[in-house]
Amino acid sequence: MTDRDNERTRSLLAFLEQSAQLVVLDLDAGDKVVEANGYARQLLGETCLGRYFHELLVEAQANLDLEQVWQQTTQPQALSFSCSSGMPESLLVRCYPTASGRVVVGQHDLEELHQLRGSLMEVNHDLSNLTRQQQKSNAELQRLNELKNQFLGMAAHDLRNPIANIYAYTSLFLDDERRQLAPDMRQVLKDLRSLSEFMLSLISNLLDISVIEMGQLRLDKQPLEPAAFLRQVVELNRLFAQRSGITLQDQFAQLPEQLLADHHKLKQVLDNLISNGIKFSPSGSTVLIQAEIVDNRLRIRVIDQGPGISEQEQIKLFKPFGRGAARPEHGQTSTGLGLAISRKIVEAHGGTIGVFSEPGAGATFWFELPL
Amino acid sequence: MIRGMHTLHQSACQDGPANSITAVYHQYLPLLLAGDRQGCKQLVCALLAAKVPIKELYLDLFQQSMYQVGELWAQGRVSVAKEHLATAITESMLTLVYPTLFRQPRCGRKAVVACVTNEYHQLGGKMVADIIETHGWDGYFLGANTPVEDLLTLLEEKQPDLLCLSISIYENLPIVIDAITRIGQRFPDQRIAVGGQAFRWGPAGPLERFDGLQILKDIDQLEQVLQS
Repeated sequence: MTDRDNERTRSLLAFLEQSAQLVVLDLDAGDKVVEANGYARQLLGETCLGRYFHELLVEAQANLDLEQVWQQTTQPQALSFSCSSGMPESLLVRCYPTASGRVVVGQHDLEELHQLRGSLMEVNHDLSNLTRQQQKSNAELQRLNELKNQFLGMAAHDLRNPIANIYAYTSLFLDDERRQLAPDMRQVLKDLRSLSEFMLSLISNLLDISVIEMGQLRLDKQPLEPAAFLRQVVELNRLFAQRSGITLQDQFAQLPEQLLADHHKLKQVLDNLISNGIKFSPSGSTVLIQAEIVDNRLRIRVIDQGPGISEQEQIKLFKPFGRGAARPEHGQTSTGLGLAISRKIVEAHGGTIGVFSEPGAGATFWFELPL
Repeated sequence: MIRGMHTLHQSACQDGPANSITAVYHQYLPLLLAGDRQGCKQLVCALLAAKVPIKELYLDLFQQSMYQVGELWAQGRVSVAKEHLATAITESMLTLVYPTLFRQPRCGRKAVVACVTNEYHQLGGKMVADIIETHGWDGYFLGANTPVEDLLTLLEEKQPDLLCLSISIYENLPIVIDAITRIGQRFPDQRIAVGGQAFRWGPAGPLERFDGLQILKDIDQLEQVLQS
């Protein structure tokens, strides 16, 4: 060998020792690591020196029969090493016997890494294309929803006047004591009035929900006196409660003198909660309306003695048409929109709304408004 | 970084979008090359918050930075893996634009954008589909490596006003020619446009035999087609 050849050999060995991504481990006869090249120490940690070979493997391979690995000389063996980075790494390992033990040479499976990179690129493409499709579909659905709300608003608006006329005419006949109506005719008119009343309330709720869903809920906040406001709403509902044989009771703690809120919309929320309490409570029971200040928030609770609501039903209760299984006790009807509207109104005020209930133990509907 | 974002936001509002994008580009490119997805995201979000036009964002930031990454790759200064990572990051940046992009008013016209079989570079095609959306068209993107059969099925289903084929590798030109031939046989009235990086490396001459086929050199030409 010439000096030049020796120089080249030293340079190659130095490359293998310092730079090449090859793991080279020199083991003694007992499989203890006595030498490790630079890349092996980088990958497996400086502590690989002096450890037994099986201790360098991941836990799942710690009991591997190494004799079989050493005997396999034609095919590289895929072994997984526990690395200093904390991430395991698989290497293709070949074993070469030496006078004092063996040399183990491990390398990454470059073909596998290449395929993996290609697959990851494909997965990334697919994911980003799916994201695009999904976002486009969402936007299309949003446009359709807005169209639906516009249609709903227009239809409800156009239906309201004729139905209001039916309600007015039937009331005119029924309330005019001079008219001698046959009993069956009176009953038909009563049914007509009751149905048109329900339809008016349904249309009114549909108009509300379409306005809310189009993001057009506007609050006209004015200062109001909470105690006076609550008493007024409770009084207005008392007659309705009496007709159903229900007692309305109020318990108001010391309330602040002023609250900034939309009077009309807040009354809509409270009316809804109280009328629900009355509708779903048996005759002879009490619906309690409580108001107090908790953590600088006005908390109002409407507590009934009705059939209660299961946890499953509570989840959908504040969504449009999310009615529970219970039916009104006194023949009233329910549109299934009142709580959804109430939720939007309370949230627009910066408040929260919810329910506590257990089947058979009544229900407590509550909402809180910031002061 | 947050203080930098504030300054960026202010400059975007005060100096106008073009200046702000140029300023951002010099911050964005090193982050892209370093694989810093979060850093890139912050810059893009700031530009979106400053209401920079989508076309400028695409051309002056995304396209320009990817062209630069391509140049660096050709010079051997970045690896293929880094180029792939930059592509993946850019694709994820596009998703930040979608909530704004897809909310634009619609004009009722549709375009399908696809990369033909063997064409795995999809970023350019996807950006074209997005630019199409900014014109109120619906831009449906089929992705990389789309078999002609799938393309024909989608053309049947969507009946688009325009089909755009994206080609990045010049060697794929025969596949594009075959696809255009088959599409022409099945849908003779289908308006087709072809464009992409491939034409930087070779002439579009072999495509000139197709009557009515539009060969697009850049986004401005695409926009002329959309407006015609």
